[in-house]
Amino acid sequence: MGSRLRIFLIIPAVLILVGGLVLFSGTVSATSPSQQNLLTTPIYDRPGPVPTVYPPSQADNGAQVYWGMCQDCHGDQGQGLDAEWRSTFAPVIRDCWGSGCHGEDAPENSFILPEAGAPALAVPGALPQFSTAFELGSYIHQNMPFSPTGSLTEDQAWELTAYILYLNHKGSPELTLSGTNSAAIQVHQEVKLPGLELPGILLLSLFLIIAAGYIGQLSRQPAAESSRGNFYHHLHPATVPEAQSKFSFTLGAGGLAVFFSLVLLITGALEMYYYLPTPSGAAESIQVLTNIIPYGNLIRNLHYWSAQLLVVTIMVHLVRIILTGAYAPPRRLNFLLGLILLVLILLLDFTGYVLRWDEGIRWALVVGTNLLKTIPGIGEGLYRFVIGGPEPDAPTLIRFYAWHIFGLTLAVTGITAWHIFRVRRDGGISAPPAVRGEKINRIPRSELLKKEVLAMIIAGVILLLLSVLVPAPIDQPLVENGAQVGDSRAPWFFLWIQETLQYGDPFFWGVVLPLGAVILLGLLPYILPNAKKEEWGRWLPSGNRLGQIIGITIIAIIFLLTLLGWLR
Amino acid sequence: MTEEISFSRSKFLQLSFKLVLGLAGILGLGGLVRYFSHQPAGQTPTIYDLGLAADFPASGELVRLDIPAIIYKTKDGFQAYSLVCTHLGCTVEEDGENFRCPCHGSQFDHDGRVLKGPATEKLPTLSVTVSENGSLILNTGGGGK
Repeated sequence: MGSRLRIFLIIPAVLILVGGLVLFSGTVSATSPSQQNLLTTPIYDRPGPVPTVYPPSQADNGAQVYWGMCQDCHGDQGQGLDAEWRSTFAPVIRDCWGSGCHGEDAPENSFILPEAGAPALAVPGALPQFSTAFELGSYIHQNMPFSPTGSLTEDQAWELTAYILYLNHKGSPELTLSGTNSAAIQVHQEVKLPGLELPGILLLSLFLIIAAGYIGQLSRQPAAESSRGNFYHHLHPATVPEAQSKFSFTLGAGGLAVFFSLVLLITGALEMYYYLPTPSGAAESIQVLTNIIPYGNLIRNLHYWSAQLLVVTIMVHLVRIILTGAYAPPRRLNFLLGLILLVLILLLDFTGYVLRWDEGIRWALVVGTNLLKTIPGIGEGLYRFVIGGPEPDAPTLIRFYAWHIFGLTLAVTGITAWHIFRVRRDGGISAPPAVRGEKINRIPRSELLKKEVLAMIIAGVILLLLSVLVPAPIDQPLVENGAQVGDSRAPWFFLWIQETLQYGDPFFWGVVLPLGAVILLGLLPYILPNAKKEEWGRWLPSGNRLGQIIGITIIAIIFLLTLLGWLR
Repeated sequence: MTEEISFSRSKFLQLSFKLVLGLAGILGLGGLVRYFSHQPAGQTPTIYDLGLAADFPASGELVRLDIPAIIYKTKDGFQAYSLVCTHLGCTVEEDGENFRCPCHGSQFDHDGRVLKGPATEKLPTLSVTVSENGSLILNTGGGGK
């Protein structure tokens, strides 16, 4: 049995290893493919337009915009409006201020140019007021061209930013600047991209294989030693009834929730080394993590996707418990623990979402915290307790950070341990009771482990695919008065509340109703008939039919509202 | 006979499992090292403009704790010493004519020479020049903080 388990581990391990090696070697040789293009971007003489290169990089496009709008004032090399540049003008217009064009006597369709002229953009020490490309790009978008101000599209602003970085020998043709990555790029420093991201598969191979190996190691320990202590052996007794280990019954949801939680703990701990919990630094540090740090993008995506999959898994778990009547005594307490975990994990998702501190979370934070204010009596106090002041600011971020990485995580870790400890205490997963004279089929610990490892590997591969293929959401850093920029949609796990909020009184629809739904679920085993013992271990027992109908109706309504909000 | 074969087969599997596990572990650790190896760019400034030489304090002495450095005006011109203790980097304090490090008690004389350990090297001399427009320019030569 043991060697079968190993065969079964070796095959995926070798595949991952080989894949990883191939990809790893890919990184080393990965040089910028479009570097060639950028270097041959021609430096043009003033009268002629910029020759086009194909395919144009963002900086090449920026060169076109620059030629059309910027170079008269800022110079063909970004040298600024110096005497030498003006000497290339026709003699009558060389003196911008005195020639009647841009001085005090400027005609109506012209504008007055400041005495200082236009600043240099690409000489040593130029652009001292800008630190990141995001600041530079935002400034260009809002303030340039000098007249008429604000006539640039957002794309043009980013193209110009890329071109100015190129003029300063700081750009990278591989990176197309935008609001969601430019805060990671320093104006005055060389751009260093991490190269190919895919070899992060290696990192997952570390998680998967070490976890599998560790569990494999544990399962080989002699039984005598294991009869005491060890939490693993508490959850994996020497033999378990086969009925308790069937995927068709458990859906593997509880175990997978533990797996995703572990991935979240590991990736979250890694993210903490680069995340800066300050209003000005948070979004920027996430852009750095996503674009600059080797494997940073992968780790962030893994964290994001395991959080989303955790919510889905927990809901599946809940549906399974209700539809099999598994919450009947003695499992009532554990059912409540599970519901508490559900609420806490939604709060963890929400606090983690807010930690992005970018335009994507602006309205979710405002709405989510203002909902608290609607609670009569304690609302205002609760609001101030949660956000740490009269309105969302630095204390809010640090409180959400503390709740996310410490308070809620500690509570969830503790209650999860209690929750899975109770499983064995309650006689294992609910299963058909022993019938006198019939022998129950039991499987050894290693068989159970094999099933768990299989589920883990499948979940791990799905998680990895999602993380590599679908990036976690990110937006541009929060800007002052950015009211129009923000995404007004709630995070998906709260879309159902956003939907109900449209029906009226926020306290009823946004607080009472969702809380009431959870409380009603928690009361199911206490106020309604439960599944009879001989019905345990199968789907849709007749004993708790009413409970099934109520529970599934609640979950279906939440699901439908979420779908409605998602389609909106 | 068959038992012997299956034994060596399981040995082989066990060995290859350990090998793959070890290799994957090493590669994964390599990934972790790469993740942590990111070095944020940027450097501390090495050149400071101290203002016009003509405005130098009449006391003949200027302490700039942000650098940190002390600049004297002498008959021969300007002289500057770093105030970074050569032991473990605390900023030394003036103690009468001398300097004393508050962290581990090293003492330096007016010219930066070690009077008392644990420091073993004198306070670094920094270059001070007067620029064309009369500004005092201090260059820490990259040996600052």
